[in-house]
Amino acid sequence: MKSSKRIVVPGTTVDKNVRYNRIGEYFVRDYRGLVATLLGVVQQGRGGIDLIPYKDVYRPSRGDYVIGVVVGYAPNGWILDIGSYTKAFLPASEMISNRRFDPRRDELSKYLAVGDVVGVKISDVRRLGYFGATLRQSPEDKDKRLGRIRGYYIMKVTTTKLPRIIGKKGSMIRLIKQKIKGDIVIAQNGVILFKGPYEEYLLLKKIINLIAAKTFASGLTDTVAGILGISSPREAVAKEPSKEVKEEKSENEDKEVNSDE
Amino acid sequence: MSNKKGKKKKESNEEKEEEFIRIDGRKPDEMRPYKIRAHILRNADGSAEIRLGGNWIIAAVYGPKEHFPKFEISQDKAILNCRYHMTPYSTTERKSPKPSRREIELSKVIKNALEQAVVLEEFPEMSIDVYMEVAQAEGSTRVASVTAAAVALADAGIPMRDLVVGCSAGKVNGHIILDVGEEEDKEGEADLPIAIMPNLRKVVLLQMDGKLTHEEFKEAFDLALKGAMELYEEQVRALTTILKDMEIIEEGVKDEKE
Repeated sequence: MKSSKRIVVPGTTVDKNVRYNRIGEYFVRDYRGLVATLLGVVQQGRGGIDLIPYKDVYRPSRGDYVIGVVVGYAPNGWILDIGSYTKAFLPASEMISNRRFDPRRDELSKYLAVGDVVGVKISDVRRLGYFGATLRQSPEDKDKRLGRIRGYYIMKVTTTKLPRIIGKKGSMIRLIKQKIKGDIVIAQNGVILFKGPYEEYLLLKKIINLIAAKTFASGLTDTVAGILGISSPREAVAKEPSKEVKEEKSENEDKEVNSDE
Repeated sequence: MSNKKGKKKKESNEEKEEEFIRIDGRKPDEMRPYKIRAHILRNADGSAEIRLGGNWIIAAVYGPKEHFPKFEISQDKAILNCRYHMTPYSTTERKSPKPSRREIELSKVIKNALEQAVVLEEFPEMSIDVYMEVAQAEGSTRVASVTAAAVALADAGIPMRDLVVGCSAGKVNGHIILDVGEEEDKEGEADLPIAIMPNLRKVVLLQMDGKLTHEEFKEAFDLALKGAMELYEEQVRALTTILKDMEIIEEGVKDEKE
């Protein structure tokens, strides 16, 4: 059997021969062969090899929807902490739409103050310097919560756990949204927002902590369904009107964020 | 190599070594009891703890994050900051918390050792902080610190080419010994701490205090390597335990059993 799962630590030689059609991130190639660089689980199959890391540093890509906190001001914009290795810069002109930003007249803190939570899209990722952030909406993400976000409970998980929280083709999040009444927003940097009754928030937090703790376990959907009191999760999920499902997990995420309006 | 004389000499040596029992009752090639635990601190990005005999060291990792001051920034790779520090209560007499000459030196050699393993090129302009706090000291703290720091880095999700693991050997009363304790370090003739990358087969830290002949050095080095490999297994165990707590089903292993 070629498809297999095994735990690796940094420096473990996964395969002496590099003969895969597709090699995931988190590997280095040297005289030892294909070597894992992170702690995680290696999955092999269909000519490809992937490492699902236990923990990873969030590396944004262009178009990611992230939720950050304002941590400082620049002369012409705000500095946001998005939980990555460097910060993001949101230009002031993004918040003032009807006229030009005038640094003599416009007080930045009137629009966004330090400590405010903001939903932004990543517009620019360079090798050096801050990430660029934007509030501009493209047609696909017209329902995204961009701009200042208020009145939400905030949770944070490692980005490697997001695929499990969303589930295969969004099955897990659909299951959660069936029972938990309220507004759930998932951002790609691992921030999860919830607006609703406190009891529902506690239940959601319990479920997310469970998924985070058992990221690599199989049959998680059933466990979560048990907590939520849904007897047959598969049917419940199937009842939902089928949507166009794209393979990319990030796009799945976007869809989930959208679909809940 | 294995002529009669050599064999005889070896045998007599072995006999001697069998008689020789160390100050804490260990055999010459015996490690102190050890235990490594990963992910022990909640607030740090990654953390680990090692107990090696009376040593108790906590390592924590923050980062990658922006580096300050800006003029120190490296354009092509991240900067690894290491801080080895002994708490005032780590020794029998109170140690001043101010970084001593020795601590600054050890921070540097540990930094040089870990830099070999971490893939720093992935994070240009950033820095990664590694803090090693010796809560209790009983000899060979530098190698124990390296061992714990490598586990903490892996726990933080920082890409590494290999783990780094250290062990020490020494010479007491003419006997080569493994894993030098505090008394042996003070009274002994020599002390040889090493750190290696076990899969890459590279030595990343090697210091020597005292005098060893060429043969003794080889013997001590081999002994330290053996100890390091033993500790490496413990490192792997500590890291895999975090994942096993997540109830992973290892399909590959299952297949083998069937």
